[in-house]
Amino acid sequence: MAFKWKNGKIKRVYPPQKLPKKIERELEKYWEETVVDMSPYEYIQKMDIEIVEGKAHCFQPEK
Amino acid sequence: MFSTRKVEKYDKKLFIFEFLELFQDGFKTERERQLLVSFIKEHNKDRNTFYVLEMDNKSMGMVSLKFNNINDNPTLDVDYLFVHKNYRKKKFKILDNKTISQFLLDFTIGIIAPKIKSLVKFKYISLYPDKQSKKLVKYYLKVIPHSFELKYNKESWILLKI
Repeated sequence: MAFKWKNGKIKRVYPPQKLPKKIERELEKYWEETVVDMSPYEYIQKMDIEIVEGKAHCFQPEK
Repeated sequence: MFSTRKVEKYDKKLFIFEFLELFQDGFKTERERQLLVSFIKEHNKDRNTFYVLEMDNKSMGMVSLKFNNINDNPTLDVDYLFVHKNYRKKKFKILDNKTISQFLLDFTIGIIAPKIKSLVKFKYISLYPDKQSKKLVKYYLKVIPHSFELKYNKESWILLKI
């Protein structure tokens, strides 16, 4: 949920664009040591899911 | 027992509709409703892609995705994740005994992300836990295997290498 509620207003939040070196190293370590594993998602890949493309059925937000 | 929309006609398929539907009675709080309104206002400008899970003509939840980046690493951001209040915390047999939120995350990671990655390179799926709830951070780390909590500026982001 890339929004937050602050002082009664909703604000969009953005991921950090520039990380301090220490955190950058942690992220690099995670990248290097993590093996992409799709096995937890095999169940969903086997499901018979159909993605139906549709036009946006939008309501008009309050002004 | 739940069945999906058009279950008889289409032989028990799950349908994920790529359209927005107002979850008129699906909000627990005014804050939730306002968040959806904000999301739609932005959507009307940016035309993000979002997916609505429907069963029995009922919109049960939705997930919206957006490109972003963290420290120059391109990410696919789970921009908005919403579950109708009546279906929260419930597990559904038809969804392999998952909750709607877990199903939508798994759908993003297991189905949509690989499709997008074949077209646009990105390194992580990112997610900002609502209200920065520690309970929610713990939940995401549990239901998204191999994920990583990036803490910066008193805020947490959940990342998954993809």
